[in-house]
Amino acid sequence: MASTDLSAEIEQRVLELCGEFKQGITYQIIQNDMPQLKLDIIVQIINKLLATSRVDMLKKDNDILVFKLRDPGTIHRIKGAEPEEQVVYKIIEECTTSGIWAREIRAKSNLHLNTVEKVLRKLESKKLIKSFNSVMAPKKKSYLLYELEPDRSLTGGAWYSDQQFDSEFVDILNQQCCRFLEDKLSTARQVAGGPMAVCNTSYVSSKDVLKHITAIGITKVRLTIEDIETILETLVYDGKVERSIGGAGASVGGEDGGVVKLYRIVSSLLPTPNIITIPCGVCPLIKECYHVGNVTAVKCRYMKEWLNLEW
Amino acid sequence: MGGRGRGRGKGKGMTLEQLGVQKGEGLPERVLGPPETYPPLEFRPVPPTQEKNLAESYLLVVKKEFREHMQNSQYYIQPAVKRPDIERYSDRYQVLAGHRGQLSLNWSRFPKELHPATIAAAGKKRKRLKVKLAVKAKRAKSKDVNISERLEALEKKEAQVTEETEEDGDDEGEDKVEGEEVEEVEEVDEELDEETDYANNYFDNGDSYLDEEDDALEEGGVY
Amino acid sequence: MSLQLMKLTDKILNEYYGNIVAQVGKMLFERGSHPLRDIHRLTGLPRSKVAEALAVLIQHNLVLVEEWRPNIPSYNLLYDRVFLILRFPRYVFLVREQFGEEGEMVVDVILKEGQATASHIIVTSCVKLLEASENAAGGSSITSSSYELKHVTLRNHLIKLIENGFIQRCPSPQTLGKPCPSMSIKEDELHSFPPELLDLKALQQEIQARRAGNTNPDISHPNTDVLWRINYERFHVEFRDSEIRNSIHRRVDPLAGECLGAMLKLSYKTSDPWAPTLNPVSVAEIRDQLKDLKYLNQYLKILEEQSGGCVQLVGDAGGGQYRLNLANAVNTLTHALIYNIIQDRYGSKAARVFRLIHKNSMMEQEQIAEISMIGKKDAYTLCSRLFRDNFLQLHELRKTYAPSPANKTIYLFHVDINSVVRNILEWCYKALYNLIVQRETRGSENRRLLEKRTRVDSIVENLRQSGGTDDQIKEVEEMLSPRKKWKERRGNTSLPLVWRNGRKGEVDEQIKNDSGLKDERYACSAVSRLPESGVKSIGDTHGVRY
Repeated sequence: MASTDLSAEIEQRVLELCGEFKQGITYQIIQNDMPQLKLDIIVQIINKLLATSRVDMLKKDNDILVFKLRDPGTIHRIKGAEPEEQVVYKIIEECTTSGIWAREIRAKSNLHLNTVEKVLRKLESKKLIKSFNSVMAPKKKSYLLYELEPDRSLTGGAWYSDQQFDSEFVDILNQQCCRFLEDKLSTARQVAGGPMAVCNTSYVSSKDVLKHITAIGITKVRLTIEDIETILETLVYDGKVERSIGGAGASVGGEDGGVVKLYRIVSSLLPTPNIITIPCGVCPLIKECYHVGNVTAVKCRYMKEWLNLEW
Repeated sequence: MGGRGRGRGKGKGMTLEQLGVQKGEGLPERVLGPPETYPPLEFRPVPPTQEKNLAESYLLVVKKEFREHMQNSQYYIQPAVKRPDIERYSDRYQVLAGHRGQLSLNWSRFPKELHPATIAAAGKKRKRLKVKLAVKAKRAKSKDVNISERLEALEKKEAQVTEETEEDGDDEGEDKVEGEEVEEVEEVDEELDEETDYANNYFDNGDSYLDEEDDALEEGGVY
Repeated sequence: MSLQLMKLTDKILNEYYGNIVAQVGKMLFERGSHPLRDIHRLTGLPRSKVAEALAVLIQHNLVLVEEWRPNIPSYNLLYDRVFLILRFPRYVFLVREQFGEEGEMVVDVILKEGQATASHIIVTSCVKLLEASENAAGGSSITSSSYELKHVTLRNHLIKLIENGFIQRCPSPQTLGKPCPSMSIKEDELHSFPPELLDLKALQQEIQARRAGNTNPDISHPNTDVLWRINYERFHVEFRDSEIRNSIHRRVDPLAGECLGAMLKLSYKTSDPWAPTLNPVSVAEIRDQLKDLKYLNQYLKILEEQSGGCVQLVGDAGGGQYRLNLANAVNTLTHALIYNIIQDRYGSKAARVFRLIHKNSMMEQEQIAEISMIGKKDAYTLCSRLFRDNFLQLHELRKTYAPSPANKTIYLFHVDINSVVRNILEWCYKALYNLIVQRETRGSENRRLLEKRTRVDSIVENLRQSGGTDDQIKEVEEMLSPRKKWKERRGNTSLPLVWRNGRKGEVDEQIKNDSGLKDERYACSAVSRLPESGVKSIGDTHGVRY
């Protein structure tokens, strides 16, 4: 048996090593560091550290055991908890704001799924962790530490309420932005100084759009510049809006001197296509329409309605 | 045998998830009875704009006038067409309406085989060939270009005469028309049978070119 | 080649030239170029009728005579021209806008004849115009001077149309007396009018004789062998350019459209209008054309930015050199047309999804929903609708073909513009066919009413001319009871139908233009590789017969 001094010294050294190797140390590392130590002494020390919850033991894929320093805060919080709880807590903690599914916890902890679920319930009741549903997979529960908020990418940010995509909200914003840009264009039309002047004045920065949207108060949700740019991009894909990049110092540029995204309303290049003014243009059966059968030009109900009622 | 049972195995079939329906989402209502042939339209045709209408109505008038003009012109080829019994606005412009029956074109611009004279000659010749076998044999033997040319000239005259009678006939009404149709059918049969005869007409312009391939393809000559 | 186009071609020929011509046309459409003997055999029509039909088709520039074997002609249907018959009113309209009613009448006469001599064109249109103005004036109020000069005015209009390329001279037979005349024409003769072709005195005599009621006066004109016809291409250049100008008009303002129009005109002085890119023009030249335009430089700048790649700045000489890239312009317009169609047919969210996929080439469903800000389920529905109607293509990505749940297949949506255009074209042909069928059905269902209407109209017209009172007119009008009037209006719905037809023509215009461009070997224009290649391959398989 080694003296207490010695074991305290070794203990200290092991903890130092753990501190050096954040991802954890193996038995091999300890042995390399202190070649004179015998295996049973190391085991004794490790067991002691594990028992006092100062390190964690993890098993790697290749069955090698890894020892990691335990976060002092954690020690405090889950003191006296069962080792399974500690392991699970640790795993959840590592995932920070992105959360983790029960299945993944099982894979990482090597615990049985039932155990994992039991532990999770326990931890939840202790208010150490909480669960939420990601918008990416609304039916699967993800877990994260109680005090953290899930990442925006998981909650969907401003566009989700109760994990449901709020398409109505998006549509309203889309329309409001569009209307704002339209107004800008019609005021720009009054500007003298040629077509280029009109064009330049009709450009609006995303920041100004955000200001306007916030000002009219259609939503209580706090929107960011990125949010509003996402909406403006949908207008670009609608073909209603054109995007341009303004450099720093442009008339509408931002004070921060960065690149500013500018938007402006544009009209479609072409009027309504003629094909759309006849029933065949909007006919859902056009593929099935033939000169014989149930769907023919002569029997066509849409055609009849169109000819009789001038819609 | 084992293979057959496997499909039914657990009787599970596809799960809803596999079909893309999430759990708890609720299935669409079951459809009872066949779907409507014409489902209600989701988008309706866009009504035309006013300005467009104005230009379009001009186009419409021109189009209608043009169509009616063509239908009454010499270019509308149909064995039995009755002139409509009403007076049309476009009739005022029907300068050519009287030309039915015989196309009046600048024939020098067309392949010779399309000229009415050639056609008439061919038709007559064929009939004569059929009826007067002796004459036919004789002609075949001599192969005298002059003679056939003279014959052609004669036939042209004949053709003109027939045309006139045909024109008269047009006015006589439907009975006559039916008769003509029957005649035509017969003519078709004749022609189908006698490919070679036709081929000979084809070349009777004096050129001695013979298409070997065609000869090989078709039945032996009549001569 | 397409089944829909064939059905449409058949319908059109039937309508304009009768059933026999349509049968011949259909056979030629299906099987390609054939000699008379085979057409006769394959259609089962009497040879005389086939010959007549072919003559009509040749006269109307719808069939091309080729020498198949020495001295044996074969006949090739120019089927895309058949479809253009529906566009004739637009040709007439265009000429009317640019050259007034004399030009309109000249083109009208040529279109009705297919090919016509200058004297025929002038005499016929002169007689019609004089009649029309007499009718309008209600009698003899036309001054004799305008009457006498009418044929000169018409000649001048004809010459103007020829020199502007709207009308061209037909090739003439080079060898007389051959069974298959070889037609050719010198390049410089196409659009010049030799004055010796017309004898103005003879013209005037014939016009007088015709007006006196002699339908076939024995007056000879020196130009019997020189015929003129419509130059389709020229009209199509005009249509295309007006589409381009109008798009700029819509996007920027009317003056920008004018500016682009002037640039086009200048460029055509040195380039072929069907070239993908035209030769550059300098700002100085443009300024010469647009002296009154206030902000020329700004307009040029804006055109460069907003024309979808049509106007390109290529150099600084002469105050700046601009080049027009028509391939880009047509591409941009084609895309705009497709977007609009999708928007009106499937809603604006579908258009958003389509544009998104088109701009990003390959996209996964998740991404689509995320960027387009459409709920995942809705995005999925929209994608599958567009996919079902062939607006989208699906690309499957998987690592192995072994079925295992872990081996997830990735589906990427993408857009093949060529196939979308081909698809829309097909669908336009079908729509046109349907409209014609609908018009025919409506017309025959309500024939009696329509005829009655015509009769009443002409009685009213006569009454009016003979100075009938309003009461009398009203009385006659009432011969059609309200009920009947209503029904008759229903019958007349065939009317809107017809003009919608015309309009539809326009739709294809757009697309047709594009494929037209393709003809000119547009390597860069995506839309172009279209129907032509398909047509060729099918044509080839039919050619195997020989």
